[in-house]
Amino acid sequence: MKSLSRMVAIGIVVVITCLAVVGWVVLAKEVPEGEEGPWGGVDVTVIEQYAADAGREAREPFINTDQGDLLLFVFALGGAVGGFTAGYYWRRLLTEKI
Amino acid sequence: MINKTIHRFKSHLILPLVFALGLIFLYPTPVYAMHIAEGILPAKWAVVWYVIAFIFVAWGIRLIRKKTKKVKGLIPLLGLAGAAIFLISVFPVPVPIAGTCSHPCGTPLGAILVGPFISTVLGAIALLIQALFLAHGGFSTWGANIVSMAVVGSFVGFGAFMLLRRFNAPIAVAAFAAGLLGDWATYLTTAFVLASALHGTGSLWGMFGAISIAFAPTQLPLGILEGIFTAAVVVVVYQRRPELLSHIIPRSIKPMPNAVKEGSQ
Repeated sequence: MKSLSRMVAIGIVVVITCLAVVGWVVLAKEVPEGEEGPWGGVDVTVIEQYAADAGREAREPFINTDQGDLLLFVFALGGAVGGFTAGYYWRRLLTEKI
Repeated sequence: MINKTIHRFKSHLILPLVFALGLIFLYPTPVYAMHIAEGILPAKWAVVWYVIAFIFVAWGIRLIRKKTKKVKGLIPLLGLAGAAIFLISVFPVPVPIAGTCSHPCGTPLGAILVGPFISTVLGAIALLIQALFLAHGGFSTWGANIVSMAVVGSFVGFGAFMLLRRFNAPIAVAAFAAGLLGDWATYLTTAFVLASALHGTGSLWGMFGAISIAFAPTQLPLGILEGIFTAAVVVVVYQRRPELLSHIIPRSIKPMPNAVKEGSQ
């Protein structure tokens, strides 16, 4: 009984995955290329497209870090602080039992 | 007194500091994803999603406070889980054949590791940082993005994992299904959020279906990818640190003995 339910559960997951692969291949042909060319994000190709059709446009972000080296600064700072903190608590994070 | 202040300072700051770890892995290019951008939702809908998100986030914060009082070593682990959610949910993945990019969610994995309410809080913090510094999402749409990615991703993923474990599915299969279904549910919720706010005089369900189908070519394979990733991480965590999953996988199921020995050294 236990192994039957196990097989049924695995079977359902396999069927869903196979259907997803088929759906991906079939529907991929319908994807229109966005204004930004290939490999555009679905936020632009789907969300902003439907929003624009409904008369809503995305606004500029309140803090625009995509200017000059500002974004690089944010990443470098975040990486340095995060890396230092993770290193400081390395043993507690990866080996000590809680 | 000074020691107490330092201790309090540490315990309050460690979560956001470890959280920033996720930024290490990113590279400075604009990111593309499912987050609803600033200004897309009308104000009344933004408020509705804020209210729904607030209920889950408030309950999650309450749980975090309760658990961290009992288990002192929990905060760095929550920080690491938050960093993982941040990283996964901002990582653009190109999808072959479809020719588009999108990202997984990370919240199904977070929910398995720390529980769905706490994962919701971590997801909300990740979304806030992304809206603040990466122009990924927005403040007015933060509530809607929390509901779709943090709440629905966490609860559907966690629910799928628990259901399949109840049917005796192996841990890897249950975690795979959690990642897969949590990811898809997130994007279906995003489609519903958009359709409910933007359908106008047209059909709500017609627009919901159209947006869902538009997401499908990108998100169907990404859901599979998220499932594989979630399964891999959960299996590794279970083998190395089984005590972290003891709340959902009873100790009666023994992990590999040599892995436990190595993990506790």
